[in-house]
Amino acid sequence: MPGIDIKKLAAICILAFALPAGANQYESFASIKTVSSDFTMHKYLAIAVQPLVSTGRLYFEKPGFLRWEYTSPFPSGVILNGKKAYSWKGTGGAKEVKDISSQPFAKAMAAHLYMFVSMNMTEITAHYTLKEREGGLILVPRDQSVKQTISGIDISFNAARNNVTKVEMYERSGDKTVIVFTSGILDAEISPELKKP
Amino acid sequence: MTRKDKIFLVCLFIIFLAAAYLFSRMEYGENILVMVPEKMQREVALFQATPLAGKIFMVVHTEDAALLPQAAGIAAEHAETISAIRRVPIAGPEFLLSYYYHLPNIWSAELETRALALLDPAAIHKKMQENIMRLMGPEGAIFGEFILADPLGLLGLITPYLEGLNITGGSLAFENGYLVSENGENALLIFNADEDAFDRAGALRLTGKVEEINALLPEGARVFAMGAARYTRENNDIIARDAARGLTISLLLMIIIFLFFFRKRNALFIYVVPVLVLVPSAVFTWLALDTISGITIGFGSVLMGLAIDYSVYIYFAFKASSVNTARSSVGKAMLRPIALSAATSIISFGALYFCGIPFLRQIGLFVVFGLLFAMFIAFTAAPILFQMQGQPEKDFAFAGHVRPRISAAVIALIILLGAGSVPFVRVNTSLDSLNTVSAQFKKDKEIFDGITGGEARNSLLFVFGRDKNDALGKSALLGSLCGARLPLAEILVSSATADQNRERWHDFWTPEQRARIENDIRSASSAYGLKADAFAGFFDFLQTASAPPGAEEFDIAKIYNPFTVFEGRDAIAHVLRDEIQLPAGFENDAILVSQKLVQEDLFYSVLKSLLLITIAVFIIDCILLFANFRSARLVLLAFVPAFCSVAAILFASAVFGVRFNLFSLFSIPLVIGLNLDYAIFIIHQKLLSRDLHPSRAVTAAALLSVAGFGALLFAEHTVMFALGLTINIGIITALLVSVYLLPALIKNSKNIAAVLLVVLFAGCASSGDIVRYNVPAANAPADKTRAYYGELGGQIVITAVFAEVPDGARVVTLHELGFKLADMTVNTNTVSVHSYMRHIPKRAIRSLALFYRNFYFDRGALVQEAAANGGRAYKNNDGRIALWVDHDNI
Repeated sequence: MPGIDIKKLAAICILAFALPAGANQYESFASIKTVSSDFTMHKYLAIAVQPLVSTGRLYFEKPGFLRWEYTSPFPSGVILNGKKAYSWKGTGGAKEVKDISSQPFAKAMAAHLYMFVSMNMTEITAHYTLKEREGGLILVPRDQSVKQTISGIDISFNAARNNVTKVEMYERSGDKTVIVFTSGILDAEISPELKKP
Repeated sequence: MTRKDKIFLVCLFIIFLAAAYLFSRMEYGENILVMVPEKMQREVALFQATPLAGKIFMVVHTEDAALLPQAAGIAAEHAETISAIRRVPIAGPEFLLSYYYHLPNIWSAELETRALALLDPAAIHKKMQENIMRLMGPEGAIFGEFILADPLGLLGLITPYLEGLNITGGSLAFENGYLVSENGENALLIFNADEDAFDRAGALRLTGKVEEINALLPEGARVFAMGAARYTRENNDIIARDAARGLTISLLLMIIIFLFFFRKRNALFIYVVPVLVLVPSAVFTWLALDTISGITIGFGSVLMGLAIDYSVYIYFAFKASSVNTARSSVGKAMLRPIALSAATSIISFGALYFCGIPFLRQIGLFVVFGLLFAMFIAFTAAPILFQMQGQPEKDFAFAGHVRPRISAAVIALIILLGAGSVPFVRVNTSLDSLNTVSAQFKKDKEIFDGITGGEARNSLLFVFGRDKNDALGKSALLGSLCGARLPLAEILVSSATADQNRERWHDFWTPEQRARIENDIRSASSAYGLKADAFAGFFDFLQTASAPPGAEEFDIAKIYNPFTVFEGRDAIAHVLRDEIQLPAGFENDAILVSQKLVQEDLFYSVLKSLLLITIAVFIIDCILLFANFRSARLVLLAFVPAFCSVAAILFASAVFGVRFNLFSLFSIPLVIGLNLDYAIFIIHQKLLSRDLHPSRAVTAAALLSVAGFGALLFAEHTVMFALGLTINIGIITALLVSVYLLPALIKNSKNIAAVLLVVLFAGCASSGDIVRYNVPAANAPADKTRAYYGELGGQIVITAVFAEVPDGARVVTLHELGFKLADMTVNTNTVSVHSYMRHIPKRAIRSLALFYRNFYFDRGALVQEAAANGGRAYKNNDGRIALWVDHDNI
């Protein structure tokens, strides 16, 4: 069974912060050094009587650090730091940490990070078709393998259009994932402790 | 020129035009099978029918793994626009799901035992937590369907079978639709190719397109193709350069020869003879055998160098004859030597018709007809055009003035040098050695072999059956009998076995078992708000052993087709990483082939055929020459230039380090054929008339051949170069021996011939086996020793202790348990062996002795592979003997 597709996960969360509304703002995004934000993820599944809710926090630092951490209901997460990559489950003494650095997807993840952080529109548009809408942007995947499962990603910006408030991911099956970002902070120092799993 | 002559020439021209027309209509066979002995054609044909045949591989290589996904995407997208190739589907989610639903068919007792570990209530609880974690995350979009279909992770029980199936043999991971190397820097794209993708035009189109794709990739990334099309392109480029260079050099040399030897307009006809002979010969061969290979035309045209000699001899004979001599008289005088030369050559090449190799059979017929036609031209058309009697040219004054004893001594020295060189002559049996490739290609090949496992993938087991089902049943039986893991046999089973497995499935998933699991899964999932019927599909699957309606049916052929039909029987091809021993009783139902072994067998089979033919031809030629000369001494002398030229070739190969390959073998009959002709001519010069048989004639004929083949010495292509070196050394040696040394021996010596005979036998004897058996073990302790670990026969772990001794090394081979197996003293010329184990076959000892000699003196002759800890493994050609050298000892 394949593991977590961290690349897609990273693409979504980075997109949420990396994509401003207008093309002229991409350059300012390229100058962002760090991002941290809380998130709440609602998963709407046909098999569930109510949405599955999870919460967590995201940390990102250029050129290649990412911490995507779930705090509830299952404490777990993944860290990418340069060429090193770790995943973990649990907390405290029950924490299980795995070094996943040798796995090629970690390096692929880095490629996506660079692509979004540097706002390389040539590469973004190579993977997604972009459609502007009022207050947001819709991304439709071009890759055949992604298209089979994801029909589109809808990103909402705040009124000032300088921050991402929500990402909605629509699946071919009819299921939906909604990630709401709150308490976003740009260019704040990230504690060295957070760079450890 | 009389009217009759003109009519004759016109008729000849018309015949040539008709032949040229048919020549233009000929279709050339390009199947490599013509090069393969009939008894081996089955194995090679099987290789052509493997799942790996007809594939084109593209590698996207990046210096930085981060670039790979983008570069691979661009390369794949653009490669799909090439019309002759189609991307091989890789096992994606749909395929994996269909594989999962195939599980009841392969539900073995082993899987049953492994599944029990997943059914523990604690394990189910943990797995369900993981499932829900995944469902809650964004990745649930991708894995949701799997989680619902297989909440227990049963698919994980059988995914290792697919990994074992990895046809590339390397350790590649499936990432984003590509097979990616461990370091993440290379992606492998596999394409099915139409037949026309492999011919010259197709190869040029494909490689051209790859170059276009390269220009689209980001900096630090590139794509290259590997496989038959790339080889064709590489060879094509080099051969085109060689041809242009060769033609220029040949033309220049031929002009010089013309100005030095001929200087008459009529003599230009000599240059037309090869074309006049080549075209009808090709047509005749095509009509007689109903097929002709492009290789036959190519190599046959080289052999037509023989055809020119007869017209050269006629030319000089006409010039030397007096004005009043009738044309017919000159022809009659030349008939005997030319007919004898032609007869020996015709026998030499005619014998090839009876060997079991289609290509050599074609060559035999081709050359026999060519020589007959060349002789016909020499006695009919040439005399009409060479009417220039009474213009004798002074022959070389120095020819034949060497003293008999000196001649004999020089000849003996050449033969002994040749014989002494035999142990140093290296042979390259690999078919790869017939390709010449660029430095970039070598780098690319290294990358390709690194990610695919190189030659390790090339061991194949074909199991035959009445139909696919029968072949599958036999595969399973064979795998269990020889204790080998056949990955395909675990995935594909016969219908009878599938029925048994499904029964086992039902027995395992009893209603009680299902009820307990359902309860565990429901209680775990309801806590997170999942509906009660969320996993209903899974429970149905456990009960019915059937996929839900609409699910894709499992078909392994979608990603990899292991089935083939061969000789009217269905066969399944297993790609093996390790070689296995076929159990008794499977002789007619299974064939084990390895590319490496087939290559070696091919080389040695061709060598054996040529040796047998050479011996037969030697005997027949001896009889023929004896019938003509009535003198055993002259018969022996007639062979002296040929023996000397073979000796010189061996000497040069050893000195220049030029390895013998398949084509070097083919050049030997040509060299012998040409050189026998020169000797016969010189003997007739001494026995009949020097005027009609001037040394100038034989020199001109030989130099014309050198002009043709000499250009090959400037070739980049290794095969062309080796061919050029062999033939030119052979011709020049034979020419010098024939013109300068042989005349002294023909009339002036009787005893020297006997001495030469002794030298010849001594030479042959000294070039025999270099391995000396049953030599007492050495006692002297050695100071400088090194020990290497190794393996014998893929089973016995050994330690080889090397100790330096004068001119070589003493090697003591120890079993891992400490007892001695063999004690050998390895020198450049010999390996003296003392074996402690009497049961070890002599053949195995010989292999080990030759391996040690190569290891000590010529590691380049061994197969080298990277080993753990930065070291290197040295193996012999069949990989059954290996030594590991760690980094410090290299």
